[in-house]
Amino acid sequence: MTDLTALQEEVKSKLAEVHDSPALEAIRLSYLGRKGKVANLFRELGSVPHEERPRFGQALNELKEFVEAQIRQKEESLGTKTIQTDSSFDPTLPGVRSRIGGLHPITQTIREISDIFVRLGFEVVDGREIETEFYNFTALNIPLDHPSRDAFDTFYTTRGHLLRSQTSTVQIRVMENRKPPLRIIAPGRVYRPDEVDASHSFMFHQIEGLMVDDQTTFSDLKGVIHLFLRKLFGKNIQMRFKPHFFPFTEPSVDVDISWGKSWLEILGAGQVDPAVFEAVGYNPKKVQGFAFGLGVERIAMLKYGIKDIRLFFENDLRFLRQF
Amino acid sequence: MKVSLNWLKEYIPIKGSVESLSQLLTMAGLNVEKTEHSKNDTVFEIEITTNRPDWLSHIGVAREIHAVTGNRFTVPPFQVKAQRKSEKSFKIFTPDPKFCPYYSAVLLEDVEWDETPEFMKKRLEACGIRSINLIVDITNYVLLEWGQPLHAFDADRLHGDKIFARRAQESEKIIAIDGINYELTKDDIVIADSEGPVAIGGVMGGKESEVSQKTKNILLESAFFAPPRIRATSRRLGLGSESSYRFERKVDPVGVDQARERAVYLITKYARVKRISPVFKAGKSPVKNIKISFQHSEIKRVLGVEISQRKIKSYLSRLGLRVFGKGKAIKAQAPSFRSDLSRPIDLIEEIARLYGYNKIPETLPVMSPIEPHISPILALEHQARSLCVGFGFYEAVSFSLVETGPYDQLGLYRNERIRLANPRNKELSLMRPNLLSGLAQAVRRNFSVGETDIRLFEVGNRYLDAANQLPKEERMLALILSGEGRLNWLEKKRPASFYDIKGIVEELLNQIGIESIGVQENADSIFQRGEGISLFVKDESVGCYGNLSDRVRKIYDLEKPVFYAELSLEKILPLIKKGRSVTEIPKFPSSPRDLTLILNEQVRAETIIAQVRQKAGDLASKIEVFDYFKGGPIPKGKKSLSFRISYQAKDRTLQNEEVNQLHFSIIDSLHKSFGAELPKAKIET
Repeated sequence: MTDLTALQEEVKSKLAEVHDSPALEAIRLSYLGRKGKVANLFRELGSVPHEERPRFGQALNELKEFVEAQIRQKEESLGTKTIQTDSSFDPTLPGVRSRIGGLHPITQTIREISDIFVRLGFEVVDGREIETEFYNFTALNIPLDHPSRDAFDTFYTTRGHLLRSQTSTVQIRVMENRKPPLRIIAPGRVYRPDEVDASHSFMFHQIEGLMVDDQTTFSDLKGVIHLFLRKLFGKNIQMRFKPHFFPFTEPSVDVDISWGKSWLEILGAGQVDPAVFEAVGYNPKKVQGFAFGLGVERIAMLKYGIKDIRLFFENDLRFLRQF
Repeated sequence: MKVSLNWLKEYIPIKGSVESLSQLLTMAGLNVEKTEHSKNDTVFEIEITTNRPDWLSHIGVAREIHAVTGNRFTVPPFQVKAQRKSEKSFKIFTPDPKFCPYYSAVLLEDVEWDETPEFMKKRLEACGIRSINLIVDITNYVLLEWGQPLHAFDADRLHGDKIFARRAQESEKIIAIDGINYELTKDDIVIADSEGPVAIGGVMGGKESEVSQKTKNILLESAFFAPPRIRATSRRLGLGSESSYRFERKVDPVGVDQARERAVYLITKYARVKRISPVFKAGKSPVKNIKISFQHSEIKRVLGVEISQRKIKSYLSRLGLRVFGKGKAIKAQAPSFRSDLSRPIDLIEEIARLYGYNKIPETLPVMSPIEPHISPILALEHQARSLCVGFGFYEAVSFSLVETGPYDQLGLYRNERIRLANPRNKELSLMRPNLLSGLAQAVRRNFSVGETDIRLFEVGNRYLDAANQLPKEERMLALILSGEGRLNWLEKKRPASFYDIKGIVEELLNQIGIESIGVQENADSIFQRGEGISLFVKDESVGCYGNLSDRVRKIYDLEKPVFYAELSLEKILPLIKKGRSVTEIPKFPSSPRDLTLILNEQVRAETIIAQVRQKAGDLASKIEVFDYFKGGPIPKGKKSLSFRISYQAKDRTLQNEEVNQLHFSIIDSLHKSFGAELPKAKIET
């Protein structure tokens, strides 16, 4: 039986004299190669008496690991000199990128806004686009022959239904089917027969929000909207609440944010009008809360510096690839 | 509405800069959209919400400034001291009080006048109204001052001594001041003399009785018209005026008389009038005295802020309300010009407004727990979008309104279409019955700007008629691809193919967790014959994919082959396998064997695979196609198909002999069933 400790010393002293990688490689072969000393010892294992085999086997493994570690150490100390390089390899050729597409900026904006509200405990809901006058107007306290309807000019189908002109329709649908407390947001397409130009489209997207319970106040609305705007536009965003009129909320506000040197209208909101609660069978003395609505394209245009709303619907890859 | 700063100053002192006034107005709800400075004046362009017709005048705006600042507000003089008698007199009739509840008029006889005073001309001009003659100018001036539209008739052009403010007769006609002949219906209001209409009530006067430079005797009208009627007429005729704008929003019922007298006052001041008649009138101006009361605690409940009763009462008084109430109740009566105030919440809003929205603190609500709901369709939509992006597709958003033409030409969805009754653009009048139009157009657009490799998808509704119910809105996913596979220096380019769209659809369904879906050839006429596949569950189609037909490509002006898929997310939703269970990883190795077969062209890969599966039973763990070849050394009418069959058993390691035996028996059976041949050695090399 060979003295394994001596062999360790031998490796150590031999390695001490190695200064380049070919020499190191020669040592590696002479010990760890198929016909190297360590391999030979393993072959001898069979001739070792049965009862000593496990102990000797373990010692051999330790020796092998020792030699490997020593060689590795030497390799590292020799540094890059040991790595064989192919001088013709050109790492500057372009990488082959995995093919991946992208989400439309409207979807990205909806997701970003939804994510904020979902973390505030709101639920994202879906709603119809083709509606009856009841859901688009009557239940929202918009009388049929009132000038307030002008703001919600509407497409009608030949069957007498209409394309919703705002996502507030979803408020009514949800409240009809559920009891408070409620916290929902409803993104979706809306339609108004507007003349198309850089800032108007006959179809665009809105997100409607609604929070109803027995205690949510106007000051809560301010708090939630400001929190949302800070998350969306950054913590230094300034906000102002301007009195406004919507038939379905009272008090109603137009919310402005500071943008450069001026104020920009960013969303409409207010406390849900008691008439709306009555329309869905809630008792306005017992429930209260707020609603808000915002235009997705408008926010996407601000966030991405998009100057023309028509770009959203042209589906030009040169545009879509930028998001 | 345009508001002149100089004019406002006549009724209320204004301190501070123009900017601070503009800010004050905006924060009170009078949104200043534009400020124009001229030499001696500043004009504000103010957006006035439909609930506040009382702001549609300079007095109204001044009154609001008073409410906000408490500055002293003075009403201009409107008491006429002169004796009231005239030679002629008129009798007024209001037979339809639901249309015109109150009509009044004053006759001014032997009137002579000169130029309109300069200050008045300037103010009118600042507000966008052209000066015409003193009398017309005064009616316009009072309109902009009080918000009450007036009308002056040339009294000598009126027939008889009766004036009717009545519903028009069906097809009654009148030539208005704008020179257009309007045909009326019985839903309109006309002012008529004993011969016929002389004005479209509340909208526009008649040409015939218009006041001109030659007019001597003037009948001055001031009335209250039912707002919905004026609105209906103005919209139906497409005729809006400063008058109709105010009447349809509702004028101050008390202001009707005041504004008339103010106009008489101004006419007597700037013109020479011989006689002023007493007021001829009929009906009653609908003044309502609604008392509103609520508990003080409501303020805190709604607004979340405590506002003292003293402050509340002061706000309400400054707004012109009469305030009563003792103890914890607040009781008030709105002035006649505030018909928008009828409920406690209306007053709470006013209190919040005067307190200042910006002074109300920001708080975060207590969020009571709600049972979590996740909308299954939105979740599926989300997953589908992510997958499509992963497949290299960009998301498109196209209009829900499409052109009817292509669907007519293809004869699709003829009986299920949803059409618009009032499209903005005649071309876009159909609610899309599938998502093809938008995506096909997007492909064309992208090719035309030089793109060569197009992959787009869209998630959105299609709309189909559902008899008498609300239309069916079905959430769809559509994908489109065309052009040449992306180029890079490591791989060869190749044109998009049927198998690309097929693989994408298969992988999509696999990822979503749909196993049992039927596949049937062709289906939809949008695909090239034999190159369209429809997917179905039971007997219902849930989607399709394939190579768009030449006809479709021609309609959308597409040159290259285009591959399209459309799936109903709504219909596949219930098919998603809920909860996957894991199968054990095989313990025993598999033995792969490659098999190249020379087959008749018509023999389909699927039939070969089915037969292999049937012969091998459980032992074929995987059967893949790895090569397909035609032409070259392969005889005409034949093709070469290569399969890799992995043999594997669950309970043992398969021995070579067993595998070989099975493999050769399969080859035998394929030969018998399909005449499949093994390639000659030469071919294989």
